Parts: sequence; structure tokens; C-alpha cells
Amino acid sequence: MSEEPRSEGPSDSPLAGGPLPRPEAIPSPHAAVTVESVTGEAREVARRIIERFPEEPDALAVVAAERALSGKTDEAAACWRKCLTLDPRSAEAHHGLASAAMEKGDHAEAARLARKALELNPSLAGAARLLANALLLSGQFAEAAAVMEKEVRREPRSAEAQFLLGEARLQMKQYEKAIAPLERAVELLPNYTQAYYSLAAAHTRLGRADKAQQYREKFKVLKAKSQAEGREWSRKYEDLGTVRRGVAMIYRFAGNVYQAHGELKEAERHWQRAAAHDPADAACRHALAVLYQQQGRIPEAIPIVESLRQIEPASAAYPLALGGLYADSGRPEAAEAALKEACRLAPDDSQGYAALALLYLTTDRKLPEALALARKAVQLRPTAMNYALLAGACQRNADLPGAVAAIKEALQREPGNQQYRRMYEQFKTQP
Amino acid sequence: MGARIAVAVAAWLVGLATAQGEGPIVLRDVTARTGIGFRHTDGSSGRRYIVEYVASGLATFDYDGDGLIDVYFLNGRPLPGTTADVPPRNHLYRNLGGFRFKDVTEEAGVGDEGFGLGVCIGDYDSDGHPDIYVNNFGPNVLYRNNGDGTFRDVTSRAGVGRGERVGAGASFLDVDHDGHLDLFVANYIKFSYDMHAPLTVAGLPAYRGPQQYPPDANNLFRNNGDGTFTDVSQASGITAHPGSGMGIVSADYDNDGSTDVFVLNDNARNFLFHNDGAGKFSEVGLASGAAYNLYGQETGNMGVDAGDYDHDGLLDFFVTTYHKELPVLFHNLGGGLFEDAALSAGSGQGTLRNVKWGCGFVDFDNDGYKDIFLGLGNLDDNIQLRDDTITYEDRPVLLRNLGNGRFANVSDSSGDGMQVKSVARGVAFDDLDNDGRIDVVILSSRRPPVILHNQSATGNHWLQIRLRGVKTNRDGVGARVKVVAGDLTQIDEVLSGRGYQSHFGSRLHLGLGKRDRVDRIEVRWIGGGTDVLENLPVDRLIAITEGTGHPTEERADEHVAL
Repeated sequence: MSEEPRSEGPSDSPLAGGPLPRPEAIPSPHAAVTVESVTGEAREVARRIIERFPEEPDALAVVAAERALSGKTDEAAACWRKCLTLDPRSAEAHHGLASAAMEKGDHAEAARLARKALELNPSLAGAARLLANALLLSGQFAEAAAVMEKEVRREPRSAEAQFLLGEARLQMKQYEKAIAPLERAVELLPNYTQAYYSLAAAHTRLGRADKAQQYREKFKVLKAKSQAEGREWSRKYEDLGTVRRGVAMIYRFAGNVYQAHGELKEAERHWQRAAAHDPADAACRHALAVLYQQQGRIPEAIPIVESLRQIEPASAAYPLALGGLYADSGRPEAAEAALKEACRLAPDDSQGYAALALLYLTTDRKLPEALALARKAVQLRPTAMNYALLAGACQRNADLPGAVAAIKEALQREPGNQQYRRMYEQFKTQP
Repeated sequence: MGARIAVAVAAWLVGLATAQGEGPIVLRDVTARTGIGFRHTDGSSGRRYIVEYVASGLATFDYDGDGLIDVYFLNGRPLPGTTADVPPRNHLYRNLGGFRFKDVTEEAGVGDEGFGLGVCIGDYDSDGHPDIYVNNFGPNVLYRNNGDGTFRDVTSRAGVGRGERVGAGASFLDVDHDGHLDLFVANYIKFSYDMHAPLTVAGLPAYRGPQQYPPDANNLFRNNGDGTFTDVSQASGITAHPGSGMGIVSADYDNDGSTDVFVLNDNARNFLFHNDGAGKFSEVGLASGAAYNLYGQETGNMGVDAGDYDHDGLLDFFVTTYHKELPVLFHNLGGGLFEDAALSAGSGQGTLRNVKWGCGFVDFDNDGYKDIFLGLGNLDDNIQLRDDTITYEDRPVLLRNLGNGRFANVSDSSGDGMQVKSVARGVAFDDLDNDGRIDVVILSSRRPPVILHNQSATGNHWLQIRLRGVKTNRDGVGARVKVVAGDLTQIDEVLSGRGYQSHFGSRLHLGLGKRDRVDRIEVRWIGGGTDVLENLPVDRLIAITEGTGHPTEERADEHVAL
């Protein structure tokens, strides 16, 4: 595998004050990959990062994650407690301890800690859900409902938050009030199997048999599908792959910590290793792509973004990024194909059209198409930049009045933009 | 004189312990003095065949009619990869009184050497002697009780052997009101050794789950009344619903006078088979709300019991589940509907940490409200290596019914018996010493069993009822009993097969709190009439014979109090 990391030897980074990696920390690309070897790698990642940043809560969080992944909940909790001694206001540490308490079935303690995490960081991912679950398990339904009411105000597009609010209300026997958030949950996530079950239950309690039956039928269809998928997953379960996905997560977390401390080589090495362990980990690849792009390493960025496109084929973001990367590396045909794909995937997003128009304009090809694309971009999103692009396209297609009108629109939206001003002056003076 | 002093000292010790933080329920571990030498085996050699972890259930019943409840343990024969010098077999222990038991397997002739999974008891030939049905991995066995302390294997003649399948729970019930006990036999999954493939999780050997094997259909055998049965699985509508059956309970959930069947499925939706009264069944699990837990999720369902925990006159179901899953409390709402009340009732407290197996609705403190007992233990003996929040052996959990629809976890304050770790599978509940308090027997996988003596000193009254059918089946299986004592009205039903693939409680037990008279008992015989008895004394075992309208007091051969 070309993604296997290589030993880099002693770091020359001015920030590299910690001990050097031990030779055994870097797995040989030819060594047999086993569950034992990859879990050993994860342990080593944790050991090294805490050695490098002994007083850093984020490094401790990596160790906690590694311990939790190994099923050592007590040791993970100890890491989180140490985090708290370093930073008593760490929302993540409170959240980690709350998760450990949940694992151990101590719901009252989990609720206390999750509430504290939420106080410290109201937008901490998963904290409100954890608190609501702990409260539900403790029989505190009204409190759980209150938490989720706040959460749906903060994240109105979270289907899970809507669902949990509905569940809390069902437990309070507020069946009518439960329906609205549950219906919102299935609006946001049309395949939300459990929400259909809860909707059927609510309508049953309210004596609306027809409505209940309607939701039950939908539930049956979705459930049959998810069970078939579950059986398939179970049939194909592959232990090493599962473990490697967890280990990839540890590498990714560690890479993020190195990046935050400016140790970009270490960050890159960890993200690469994460990518090697988990062919479907988008986050580590995203981090690598951004790093390579920032460092102008376009040839290295391209295969990474290509792999992201394969991981998330429905996302227009990666073809869009590829369009830019191919254009920057002098491959206009490849750029054109990627940008056309972006337009196909996100027909209502102006970015693909704008980027493709720009490509044609900068390569002096298909100018009429560039004009049509720029118009489409403006139609979808009448921003100053899209108008400026349209102005350029008009000008290249010898439509000077059109160019002047478009650049005036751009200036109207961004009156202080000097580039637009210069374009306006230039078009105005052209015969 | 010496015995009296011993009793007084024991009572003082119980009082002392109570004063030191014990609650109203006190269960003591008396395993060591029972003389029970049984040690369960699951046939395992490290290959981790799926059938290993589902073994085994047990039965408590009075096989010899001496008034003392005896214990029958199922066992697993060696599976490929292991051998045994002495083949493991099922064991029957005769209750001698005073928590002393004698192994009578040999003389009773019930030492089946198959791979025992589920068991139920019922007097299928209505001769007055309870018979045993063993549901195996492999051919099943029906032991007919000869009435002289011995049994005869009548499987072949009866036609209930069922071939090479993986069994689960089983239950005798009269599906068509003809007075003869029919037989429902649940099956787990379709399995043969060539279908087995090793599995590792986090690099450690682990058992495969049921979803990796094809589901199997259950069986219903109709009793022909002449010692033989006819397989009516297809005609009754049962075969149309293959699943991964585990514990089952047969009970009349909708009060229509016919016995229905609730079949748990492991990692799949449960089946609630509604009986039309003529032995035809419709599967109504989803519409009734009993198929899934409160979130519409299929859980790793294991054991089930039926009982009316909230005195609304409707039987509820309690279902044990896999680790990190709440057990499910199917609260019966009436009209054929259930809701999972696990959160509102608090009936999952202290249970998430492990896999839950045998269970029972049992009034341990005789306060008139049924508590819940659950046996815990994991599948994998190496589980702690991959998750330190779970252990292979575990303590049981006791949830005390607070009388307001909620339960409290009293495991830590209910005696040393609650501290004993086991790898629970089947758990049975009966009054082993006839002192009016229900005791506990836990079958522990790969280990000796655990026997817990109920020494709760509440001063509450109680009544035990044994039914004797005349026109209907002899032990009153399926009969509904309503007991009114002052402001307390309770219902119960004689069940055959319940909990985790086990059998217990043929003799109904009702706590009465401080009420010292029973005003009225109504017995609705399955497919028969109703008997009403009034103004009855308490703190005794009575027998009610169908059609007589009056009780007779049953006396055990021995009543030993500590």
C-alpha cells in the first residue's frame, strides 16, 4: 500500500522538543497487519502524544479515546479526570466522563456531568443528546424535554434532537405535543425508522387508528430494509477492518493535536496513517487535502480529493475542489469533467457553474458556454462575485453593455471592491 | 430445644442484618447446604458454537406430590471438540425439606443426555402427575410421570420428538378448550456444525449472533387425548412466522378466555400469537405494540414472564434483553395494546451492564405487589477483555415494586444472596420450604447453580393456590384466578413454561400485605366454568378443585422454619 507511512527520522521542527519516535512506533509496510498490531499502533500513538504534550488536554483526550476504544472505560475516565485537573472548564472532559458514566449505567452521574458540559459549551456536539438520554433513563422526562426543547431551538434541523424531544413528551404522556417534533424528525430524515414507530404509538394513544396504521406501515417497510442491511452487515462483519476504523480515528485525533501545535509533518503522518487504516475515513483525507492545498502540493492533493470523491460520491464539494486542483495543475480537460460533475450533483448550487465558467474564460475556450454558465450562477445566487464573473463573460463575448450592467450590479453589492471598480472603469471606456 | 435456639438465633441474625441496612426483602445464599451437586455444562470446547450460550433452563415443580417443590436442571451434552468421561445429563433433585435435596435422576429416569435448552411441565395425560417436556438442540424428550417417583420416555409414542433442531422455550397450553394440554415448542435458529464459522471481535474469540443463521419456525402440537399429539404448526398459523425464538410464555393477555402465546425472538421482533379460541393463531405483535421496545428497536430478547404488576386486571409482560439494552416492560393497556413502560416504571435500573436472562414477576415481600428478579451473565467468558464495564459472571438484580407503577433497585439491600455472582441462564421461583415466601434457583452456565432462600421478615400475609382441574386440564394450566382481599384485587394465571426457557410457579402465590382474610376468589377454568370461593383464611396453601366451590388445605410433608 502506497499509503503506508515511512519513518521520517528525527524531526527538524523547532517545536519538536519531545522524545523521538521509537523505531517500533513506525510499522513496517511489509509487516502483517493484525488486530494486535493495529491496536498496538493506537496505544503507541497515545503514548507518544502524551509524552510530547504531557500537559495538553487535547492530547489526554486522544489517550482517553484510545482507552475507550480498547474497552478500558475506567482508564478513559481517569484521562478525562486528569483533563479536568488541567482545565476544570473543559466541556469535552465533562462530556467524556459523562459518557463513561453512561457506559457504567450511572445515569444520574452521567446527567450531572453532561449538564455541566453543556453549560460550558452549549454547542458541544452530542452533549444535549447525552444529557437527554441520561435524564430519560433516570425517569426525569420533563427535564429531558426541557433540554431537547432548547436543543431544537439551537439546532432546528437536527432530526435526532426532534426525535428525542418527541420521545420525552411521549414518556410524559403528552401524545399530542409529541407529534409535532416527531413529524419534523421524519421531514428532516425521511428514513427515520424509529420516529415512525413513535408516531404510530402517539396516534394509537390518541385513538387515531388510521393515522397510526399509516405510520406503522411506513415503519414496517423501513424496518424490513434496515433488518436486511443489518443481516448483510453482520454477514460481512470483518473484525480487523472494524478495529482499523477505530484506530484510524485515534490517528486522526492525534493528527489534529499535532496540527494545532504547528507540527504539520507529524499531523500529516498521522492523517496519512488514518487514511491507510480506514479507506472510508473522509475527515482525515479532508485534513490532508487542505494541508496539501495550503502548502501548494497540488499533485499530492489531487489523489486525496479523488479518494474523497469516491467515498462520498453524492457530494458536489469534491468534484468542485478537483476542478480547481486540475485547473491549477494545467489539466483543463480533467478540470472541465470534474466541474461538470459538480454541476450535475448540485444543480441548484451556483458554485459549479461559476467555476466552470471561470475555467472556460481562463483557458479561452467555449466562451458562449461560459456566458451561459455565468448567467446561471447569477440566477441561482446573485452575489457580487457572480455578477463580476458574468461581467467578465459578457466582455469576452463582446457584450459590452451586458458587461457594464453586470459589473454595476457587483459594485452595488460591494461598493468598496476596487477590482470591480477597475473593471467598471475599463468597460465604461471601451468603445 | 436445640433446634428452637437455632431458630431464635437465626431470626435474631436476620433482624440484625435488617437493622444494618437490609430492606424488606432478604435473600440468603444457601447453595452450600442444599446438597445439590449439579454443575452445568454447555458442551463448549472453545469453538463457540451458537448453541452453547443459550443453554439452559430449569424447572421447579412437585414431581412426586409430596407438597415440596423439586428442581430439574437441564444440561448440555459435549459438542464437537470436547469429550466427557461421564456424559453430562439433566438432573432431578428431590426436595427433602429444610433446603436439603437429593439427586434422584437415576431412579426417576429423567437424565436425558441431549443438549438441554428449554423445559416445561404439564400433566398432558391428566393422570394427576406432572410430566416433563425437554426442548433440546437435537431430538426432544417427553417424560411421562408414572406417579411412583419414576418417569418414562414417551416421546416416540407421543410424536413430539421434533428432530434435529435448536430448541428454546416450550409451553403446555390448552389451545382449543378441549381439556387436553397441547404443546407449543419454540425453536431458535437453523443450525448445523457445517454452518459454523469462527468469529473474532476486537481480536478476541466471540460468539456469532442469531442473525447470521436462518430463522426457524415454531411448532404447535395438538393433544389427541390418547397420549399422542398431532403437529398442527401449519394449520394453526404458527409456521408462517419463522424467527429466532427464545423464552416464551402462554397467557391470556386480552382476557378473552383463550390462552395466547408470546414468543420472544433474539435480535428480532417478538411474536404475539393471538388465539381465536379454536386453536388458530394470528400474529399481532406489531399492531399490539409488543414486537419492539419503546424506540421500535428489536432487542436481544431472552426471557419473559407474565404478571399483573399494577393491579389493573391485565397481564403485563416483562422481557429480559442483551447488555446495554433496557429490559422491556410491556404494560398492558387493554384493548389488545401494550406500551413499553421501562422508563416510566424504572424497571431497567441496574440492568444495562449485562445480558439479562431468567426473570420473574414475584412478590418476594408479600406486600401484594409483584417485584421483578433478573438473572445476569454474559455470553463470552472473555468479555471483560474487550469491555471493562461488563463481566462474565454477575450479580442478579432485584427490583421492588413500590405499588405506584414504579420499581426501585433494591439489589444492594436484599441480603447476601444478591451478592452471589453467576452466569445466569434459567431462573426459577417457588416456595421451596413452604414458609410462604418465594425462593430462587439460578442455573449458572458452566457452574453449579445458586439457591437463594427468601428470609424476608415482613409479617405480611399470603396465600398459595393449587388448582385441580376436573373437566379441564388437571393442573389448571391457563386458568385465571382473581383474589380479592379488602382493597386489594389481584389476578394471576397458571402458566406452563416461562422466564428463560424454564418452568416455575405452578402453585400460585399471592402476597396480601397486612390483610388477614381473603374475601373472594374467582377461578375461571380454561374452557370451563367459574368457581367462586368466599371468606378464606390466609397464610396457607389451598387447593381448589374445579366445580366444588370450596378449598381444601394442602399440607406439605414438612414445613421447616429457620
